[in-house]
Amino acid sequence: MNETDKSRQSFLAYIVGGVVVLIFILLPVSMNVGRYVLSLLFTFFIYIVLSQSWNLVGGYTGQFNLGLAAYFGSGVLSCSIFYSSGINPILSLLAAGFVAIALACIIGLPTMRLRGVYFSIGTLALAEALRLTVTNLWPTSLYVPATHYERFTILTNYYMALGLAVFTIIVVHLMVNSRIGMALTAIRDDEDAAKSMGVSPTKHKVTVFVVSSFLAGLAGGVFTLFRGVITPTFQFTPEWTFGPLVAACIGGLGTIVGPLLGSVFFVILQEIFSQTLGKMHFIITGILFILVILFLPRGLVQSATTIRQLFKSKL
Amino acid sequence: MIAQIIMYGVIIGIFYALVAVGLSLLFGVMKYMNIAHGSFVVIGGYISFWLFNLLGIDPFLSIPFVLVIMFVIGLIVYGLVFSPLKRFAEGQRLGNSMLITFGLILVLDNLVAFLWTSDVKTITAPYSGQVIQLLGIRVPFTSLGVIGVTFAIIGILHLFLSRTYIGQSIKATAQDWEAASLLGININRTYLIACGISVALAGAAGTAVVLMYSISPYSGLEWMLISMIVLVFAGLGKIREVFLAGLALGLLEQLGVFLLGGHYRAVVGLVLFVLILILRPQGLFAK
Amino acid sequence: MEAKVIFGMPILEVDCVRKSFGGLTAVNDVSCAVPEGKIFGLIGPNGSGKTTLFNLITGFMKPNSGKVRFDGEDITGVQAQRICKAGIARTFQLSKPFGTMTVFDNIVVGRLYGNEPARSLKRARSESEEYMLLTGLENKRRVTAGTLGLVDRRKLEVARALATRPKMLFLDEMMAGLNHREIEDAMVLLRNLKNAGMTMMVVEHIMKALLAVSDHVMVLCTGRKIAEGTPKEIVCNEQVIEAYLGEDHDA
Repeated sequence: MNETDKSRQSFLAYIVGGVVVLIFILLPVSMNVGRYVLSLLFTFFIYIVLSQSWNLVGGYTGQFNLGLAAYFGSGVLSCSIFYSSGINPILSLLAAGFVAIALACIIGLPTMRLRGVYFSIGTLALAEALRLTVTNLWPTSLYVPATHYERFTILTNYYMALGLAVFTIIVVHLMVNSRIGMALTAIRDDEDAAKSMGVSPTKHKVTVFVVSSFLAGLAGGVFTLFRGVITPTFQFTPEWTFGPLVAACIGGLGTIVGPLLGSVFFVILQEIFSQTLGKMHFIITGILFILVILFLPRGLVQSATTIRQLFKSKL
Repeated sequence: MIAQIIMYGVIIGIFYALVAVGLSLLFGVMKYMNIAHGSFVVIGGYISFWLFNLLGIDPFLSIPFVLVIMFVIGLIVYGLVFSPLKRFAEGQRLGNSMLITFGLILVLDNLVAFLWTSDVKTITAPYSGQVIQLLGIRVPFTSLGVIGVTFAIIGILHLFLSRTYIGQSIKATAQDWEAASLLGININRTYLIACGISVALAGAAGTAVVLMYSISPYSGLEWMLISMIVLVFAGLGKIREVFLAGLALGLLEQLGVFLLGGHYRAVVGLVLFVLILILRPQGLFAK
Repeated sequence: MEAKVIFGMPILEVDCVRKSFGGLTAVNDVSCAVPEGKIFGLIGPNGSGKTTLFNLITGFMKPNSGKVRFDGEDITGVQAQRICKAGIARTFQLSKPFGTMTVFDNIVVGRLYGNEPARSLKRARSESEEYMLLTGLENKRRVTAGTLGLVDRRKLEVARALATRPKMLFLDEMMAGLNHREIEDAMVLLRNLKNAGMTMMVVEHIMKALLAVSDHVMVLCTGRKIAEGTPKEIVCNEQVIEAYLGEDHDA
């Protein structure tokens, strides 16, 4: 592939991406899609944000953060608290993102010193500690002001989630295609070599971790405005880490398309089986996940490339 | 009062060592991180539960059955999940073992919920709730039994590792698998057996869990985290130090309960755990 | 042992540096001074502490005692990335390419983050071209670095290091495993770099090649400096001959 090929390809990607976003924008106004489809797409958008956020750390720096739920949960909780204390909902939403950043700085940064498996179990342990603490401090449900349901229809929530998903993809795209992206790949491939060339691993890992937390926090805020009533402890459960992780791994680590593809897959699978088997879809997801890790370590995206190459070589 | 706290700390600490020893063995031998360890604990608990409820087998007497059944499950898990991991380069195996066993959690926990509903289950044996006065301290009878079982199992494990050929090859493989394979040790078979033993030990811990606490399909994570804390306290892969590490965690948790209240029992352990990860990654008791 | 001051101002001064691992002293109070624009050779039998000394200077290990000064600044125990930014670049004995990146992008990283980083990605790309040409990697530009063969990996190590625009280059056994032709090429590259004014410290197991390119040579044995001087002085030094007797080398 030469440079013009590559730029043509990314041009094509922009066009496709733009058309898809346009379809999502026009969908609710042009068709009478109903609450069910909109909520499903809402979930899908939140999954895109969370899996992109997870992938930013997991895929691009190779550090598997098992504590994403803490940042999502803190976004949900703080947005709810700000909102119910009379602050404007949009400001509460933004504040949720910054609370997640603050959390990343206080409890996340110490774990940045950990490498590999230590990082993973450290983040998981802190997320669980936070979940238990939150459960103790806010054992009951939290409510948004009564005026909320007049201001926010399902359509508003839909567009907010769509907007956040698009924002997330743009942020991730800009980041990984900048000099920061080069440094991240270098660090992931060989930390010592990166250091020897003047790349500071800590600085870059921290940057990415903070951005990732910010996105997860915003996702939490959007989720709060969708749900209205929230029970904090449920938003801190590891499921909120595991879902995005599975989506990113199945789709393809370290790519932007991967988490998108994985989210489609995950949300559809969840929806199909939740009608018939309830939580049992996790069994199928789990098996699929294991198979992907073992046989397609770079996810469905890679297998798409492999199949395309196979065709090319045949022709 | 203080004596009571210490006594509970010791009891729970020894029990924690039992929960963690299988995970430590697996990590020590194969350098795999099995984060589904807690799910195996839960499955072991269910086996004891059903043996007690359907066949009326006393939970303490059911331990040999649990060990055998879980050993076989361990062999199957090795064949299906751990053995294919060898396709990866050595540097990638640890990370991938974590991801794969994470997938295993999804499968096992939901399978358990599917088979046995998500109700909380516990065993009420005739002697449950009986208390023994020991030097003026009240000790539940089941806890005392669990301590006995833990000593027996860790003792047998120690004898097995130091006295039998397979045990010796497990130890040799843990130290240096390349050197071990040069000595003619069948590495695959050693891994297979180590994995079986690890899962069997998790199962035995499950019996203790269902006796002392209760089990439900999604409680595996809690036991996995406790094993992980003990593992890190002991130093990764150190089997002998697990006992001390379990005791340390049990005592520290009870101290936390005393100072902050019961709701923060697990938080104390988890926060200490992260501190130790950062400050002393080689473990509390490593030289 | 005192560092001998030789021709010209030293750009790098190593003063009584020591590093122990447990009971083993890998580098034992070694001192040396490298003048600007020269090739400083470092030889010694296996396990004599050459790579450890490299790691101590380039920030991958902290010395237990002693000082390292580079270009007038104290760089003792400074982090590796800072040392790179101060103008020291290195290669690794076991090459460490950024495996998932292309050869070209490997070099671009050097232009983006090294000693005199380029302002923009675009500038970095255009400035990276010269290092592709210099090391003869131009026809490998889009190859994924992880799939390169030994020779190209070595070339990439050097190209990447140069792309950080260092004032001084540390080369760790870049000729090991190469055939005679490839060694000749490597020596030509070293001489060209020297003519362009680059200061270098070179570790090599292949004595003949090292002696041929070096201006000044230091010999380490079990962590101590046993000799230092011009290549001619070194080949006549009895201690050196003794240290190498029975040692399996390609000289």
